[in-house]
Amino acid sequence: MENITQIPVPSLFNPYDPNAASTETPAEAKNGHPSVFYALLFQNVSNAKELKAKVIAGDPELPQCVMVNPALVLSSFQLQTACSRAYMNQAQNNMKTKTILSEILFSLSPSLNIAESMKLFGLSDNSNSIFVLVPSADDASVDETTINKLKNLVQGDLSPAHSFSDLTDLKLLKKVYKLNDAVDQSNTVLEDLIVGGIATKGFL
Amino acid sequence: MTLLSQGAEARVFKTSFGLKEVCIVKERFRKTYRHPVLDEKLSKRRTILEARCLVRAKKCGIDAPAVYLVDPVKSLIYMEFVEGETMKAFFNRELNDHAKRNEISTKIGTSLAKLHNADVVHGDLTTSNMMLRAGTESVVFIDFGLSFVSNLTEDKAVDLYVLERALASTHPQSHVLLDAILASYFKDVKDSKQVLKKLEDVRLRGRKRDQTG
Repeated sequence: MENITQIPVPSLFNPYDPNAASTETPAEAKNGHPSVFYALLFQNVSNAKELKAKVIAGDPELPQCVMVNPALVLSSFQLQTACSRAYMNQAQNNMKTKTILSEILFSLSPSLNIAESMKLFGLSDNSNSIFVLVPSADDASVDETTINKLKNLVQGDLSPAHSFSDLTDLKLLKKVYKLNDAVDQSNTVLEDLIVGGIATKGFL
Repeated sequence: MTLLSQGAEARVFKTSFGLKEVCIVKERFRKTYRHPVLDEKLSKRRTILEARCLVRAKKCGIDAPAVYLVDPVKSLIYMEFVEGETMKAFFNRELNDHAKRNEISTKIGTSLAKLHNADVVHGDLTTSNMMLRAGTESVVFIDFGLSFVSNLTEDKAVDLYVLERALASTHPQSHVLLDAILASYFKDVKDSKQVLKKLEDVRLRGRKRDQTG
């Protein structure tokens, strides 16, 4: 599957507690979430409006996935952080949105406004490229049926997804993450700041 | 997962984090000597404050570890593993290379001025809490555990005073290092005159302010 970028979702750190009753060591602790997300990039998409309606309606035809606007994605690590944050919120019963998939989208956004976050980071009626994040099956393998379903649903070309920054709208990205006043504007620092923003969002 | 170091406040582990092969996890562990409710509150608040200061420091253009994830419930911060040596190790190794020591000290002063200009007070400036990044040789400030945001010249002056004392107690010929650091610091810092004046006050009276009267 050369067209698919993998986004690992690492299991969260479990400090060793000498006072805990359980003898389970941290390594044995179960993830409780998919270990990998597959990022598929569709370009020249012609039916974004239809797809958006399906996502909003929770159409059963649509497989479990998150559709992200690639203009606001700088790197795969940014997506990983958002996924980690979302699953952490889920594990701690701290979710701000109704499902884990919408929580991932919401986590990506620096805004605390859910509707605004969905509008910016999700599909819009005239999107012509889309990142689709698909959670792995239990054994971390690619879920072929899901991907085939998506290929049928999305009218567009599946492209190699390794070129994250090619589709990034840096100007918009900086505006959304409020990075215009950052002193160092190199891509690595921007990534660090975006990830830091995702990590600290909502904590005062 | 390996334990890198442990202090009175937290433990630092090295582990991996998905796409990042190495990652640091700083855990504020439970203090059994404190009331559980208070303990939880303090740990949570300090964890969040530290993470926010780290991000703020990064934003003002100084080099600091990137924050990957914050877990306020378990009091964890996942952050970048910085490859390199501590400033303490560097200064002790390069005892005789004065030009090099001077160059790095100047860098410390410039970075510290940037940090203070963004109103971030580090709170625990020592040569063990600074690193020299391998490759780029940039000065990395670490351990923002005692940091806070303040625009008072008093806080900034105390920050410098802490550094001064730390240098004096860890490095021979510390005044040479200090002079280079302060020279570049006062060149770049806002309100340099007021900070310098405050620093002189602090030197006379020590870190704590007189509470009498």
